[in-house]
Amino acid sequence: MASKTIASLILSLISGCQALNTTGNNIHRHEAELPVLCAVFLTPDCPIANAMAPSLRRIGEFAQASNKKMLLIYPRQGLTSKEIEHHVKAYGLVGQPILDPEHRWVKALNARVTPEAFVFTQADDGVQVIYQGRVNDLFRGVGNRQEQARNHEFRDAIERVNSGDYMPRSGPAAVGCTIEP
Amino acid sequence: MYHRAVIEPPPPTFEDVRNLLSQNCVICHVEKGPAPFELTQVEDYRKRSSFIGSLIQEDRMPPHLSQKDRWTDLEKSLVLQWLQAISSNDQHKSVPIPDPPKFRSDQTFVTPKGFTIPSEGGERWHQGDRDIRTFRLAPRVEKTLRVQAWRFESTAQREVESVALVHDDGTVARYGDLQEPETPGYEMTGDMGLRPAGFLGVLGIGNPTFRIPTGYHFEIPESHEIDFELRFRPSGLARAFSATLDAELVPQDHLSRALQLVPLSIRSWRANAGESGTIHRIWKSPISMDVPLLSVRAGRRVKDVTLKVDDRVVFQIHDWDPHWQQTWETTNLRVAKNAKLEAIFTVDNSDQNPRNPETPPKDIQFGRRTGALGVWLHAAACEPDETSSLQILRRQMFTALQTDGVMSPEQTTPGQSVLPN
Ligand code: HEC
Repeated sequence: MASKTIASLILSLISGCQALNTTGNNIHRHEAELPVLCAVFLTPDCPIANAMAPSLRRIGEFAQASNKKMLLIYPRQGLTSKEIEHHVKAYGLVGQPILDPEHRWVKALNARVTPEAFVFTQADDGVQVIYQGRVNDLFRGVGNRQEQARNHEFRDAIERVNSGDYMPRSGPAAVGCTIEP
Repeated sequence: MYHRAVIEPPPPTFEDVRNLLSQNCVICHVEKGPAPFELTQVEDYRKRSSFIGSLIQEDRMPPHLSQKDRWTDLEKSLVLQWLQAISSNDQHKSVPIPDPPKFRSDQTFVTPKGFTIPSEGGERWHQGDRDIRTFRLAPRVEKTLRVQAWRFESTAQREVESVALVHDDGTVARYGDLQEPETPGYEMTGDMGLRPAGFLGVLGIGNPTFRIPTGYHFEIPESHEIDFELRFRPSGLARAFSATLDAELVPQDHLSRALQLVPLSIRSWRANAGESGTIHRIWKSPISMDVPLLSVRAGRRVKDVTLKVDDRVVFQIHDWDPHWQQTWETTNLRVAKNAKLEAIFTVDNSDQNPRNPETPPKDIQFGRRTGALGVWLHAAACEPDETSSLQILRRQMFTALQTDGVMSPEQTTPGQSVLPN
């Protein structure tokens, strides 16, 4: 979980984050202004993250419907905004894409894999991470795929925040593609 | 005094690993291949080097299709060392793409159009292990075919996990329609042991082009149709599915033996929550036979699959993963008359088994008319006049299977031979 200094670091990242300069229809100018509800780390070709895209899309739509936003953070060096735009569009993701080639987000949040999920609340002294972990249990391990996800920890954490429960909790560790140093 | 120099072997170069990568990675990680991205450039490895390193260390990639496909420790350490320090001189080099296997298409069968592989898995009535769908291919076979090789191609290479092929006189494949009216059926091999139908092998991620060793073939009788059971894994994108199955036939004047199915199956088994152990099927072969190929049916609670002949291990898969099904080639297995065959399934219904779908584990029981577990031999009698015995044998083995009790781990059935005198 993020400590206080990290909390303000995240706040500065969040307030500083610019919407990608993109023509994708998912991203509108006003979205950059919306409060951040949650984030997920992604790489366009990670099969584990992509298999969960339908779940992520629903979460992004939920955030949007409640006038908040999901950040889609792409930590791979060398990715272009065009490639990201293409990925977001192909999988119908809803949220604000962010390029993180210098791993500022990766370090602030201590993310390890894609997809790794985070849920935030805005506190007086910064932003608090109230959930860090897997999206769901579709994959129990790399190469260990279930038919369907049965536990949806990311979604549940968002529902908790929504119902006013701000108790920070880590979920089971995210399974996915290693974020390269 | 001599100065003792420490001789460090130089780190491996790209030239040291390129053939390994070409034969064992690029073969799937190539445009239109079954894998999710290409690994045809050194850069493709560099940008994923720690991830790839961890998968190689854990024996995840290259996938363990059978024991002999796994990398040795030496091969692993060579590639791992190379990954750790990819030279900047190599960054723009490419890994050679292996030639596609030789294949001559003598006849093509096609699936009906109209099915879309969904973007994510759904609930199924049969609580089956995989997302499954069956297809009936067109056209029907006009005259008896002797198939030497298959080639399967589809619009969903990345979603397709395997296709299990059968031929059928048009009645068997309908089993299951009632339970799932919107699909063409689920368990098309339902009565295959008893009706005029037959198993034609499994094409998986590792063998979309599959050659039956020379001298053997799969035989499809006149007027039969070919059906397959497709297992797929949704990739996050909905994908319209259509496929072609090409057959290369044995030239007319060539001698070749038809492969018959000899199923070493367990019809039904159960295990308590937390229970693990082995389940055996022992059978004495009443004739001598050659077994160039075999297929496996097993689910997520199975850890290891082993075939022994006269107590010698002739085939084994550790850490069985139902995602990587296919028909495997044996190393020229010949089974003598009266040899003892033993299929061994090591099952694990505890939470030690990472693939166990139930956490915490539950009591389970599985049953299937053709066998919930099976090592299926594709066999040809050594004596030509015993070919029909094999057909009778298959039918009898399936009939006997229907009266089998429910087996539990550690239990062994007594060896028996069911060939009539
Ligand atoms: C027989 C085909 C095949 C071979 C050979 C193969 N792969 Fe894969 N690979 C796949 C498939 C299929 C997937 C997607 C797995 C899934 O969707 O569950 C995959 C996935 C991966 C992934 C992503 C992690 C994952 O589990 O999804 C990496 C990284 C990878 N392969 C690297 C390699 C490397 C390196 C090699 C060679 C050492 C290799 N692969 C050889 C078929 C293959």
